Amino acid sequence: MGRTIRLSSQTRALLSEFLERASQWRYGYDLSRDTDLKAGTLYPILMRLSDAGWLEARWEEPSSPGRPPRHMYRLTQDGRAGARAATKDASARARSTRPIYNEV
Amino acid sequence: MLRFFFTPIRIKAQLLLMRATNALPQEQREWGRAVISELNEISGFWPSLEWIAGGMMAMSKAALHNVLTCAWRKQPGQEPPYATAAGIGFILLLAPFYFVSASLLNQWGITWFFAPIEHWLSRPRQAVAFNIISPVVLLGTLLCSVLLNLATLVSVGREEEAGGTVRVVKVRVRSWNLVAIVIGLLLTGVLLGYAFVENFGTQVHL
Repeated sequence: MGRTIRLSSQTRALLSEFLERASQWRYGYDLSRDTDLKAGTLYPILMRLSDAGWLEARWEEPSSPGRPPRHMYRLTQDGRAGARAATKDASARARSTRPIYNEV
Repeated sequence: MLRFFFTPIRIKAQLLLMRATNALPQEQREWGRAVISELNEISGFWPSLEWIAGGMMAMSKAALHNVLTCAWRKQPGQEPPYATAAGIGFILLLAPFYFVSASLLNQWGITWFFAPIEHWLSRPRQAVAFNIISPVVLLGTLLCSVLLNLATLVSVGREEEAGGTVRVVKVRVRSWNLVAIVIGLLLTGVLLGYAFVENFGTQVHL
């Protein structure tokens, strides 16, 4: 059973990054590079999303011997729905608070 | 040259990160391993160091959250985070320990430790602020330290026994947690004793 999560701007950025390639498994370092989130910010968000049931995680089989397996993440069905709603809300809010000079 | 220093620092940082990971509850430890496993993909000194520092911060946050919210109690079979609680407890004891020991040493003629406090108290407005804030901070940190360590050592629950349910109080013995509790209680006693003498001492003599 998932629980509600706090949707900070960093969480939204991460969710939209996941949505861009929703079916793909993603690595922590790649997510950090693509979203510009540092490990200290990224991992607490990943933990929260996982606890809320928005994210599934698994260990990748090591590609070569002696190399440690990597942890991979992907949005769950709930996560995709939640992420779409969260990013839609954010873009609607951004549109409603757009400066007037953009309208002219 | 940088490469020469890089490997030992990296290994030490990795070891530190692993230690921080051990303070996490069992089901969260894989997050610590996840941060460490990504290190193999990062090249360069500063990006690696940044990743390790960030990972340590994330794991410390999670460990702190685990201790402060007693999240470990919700996991059956989960060991309390003894070392983390003792570590946080000792950090919380630093300010009261400094204040009490500096005051005592000042009474015995060693004024060097008390000088910064005296300097602060020399300005009337700062002295007023100190008198309001210091009891809250000193007693608050002492209370937090004692309660935090007590929470890891003592647990109350219910267990099924023949004929019904009984309330069970479990007390674990861990030396560092006990030391933190004892120091916390001693400092509380000294501070409360000092406050009592300071406020009611003259009335007792009358």
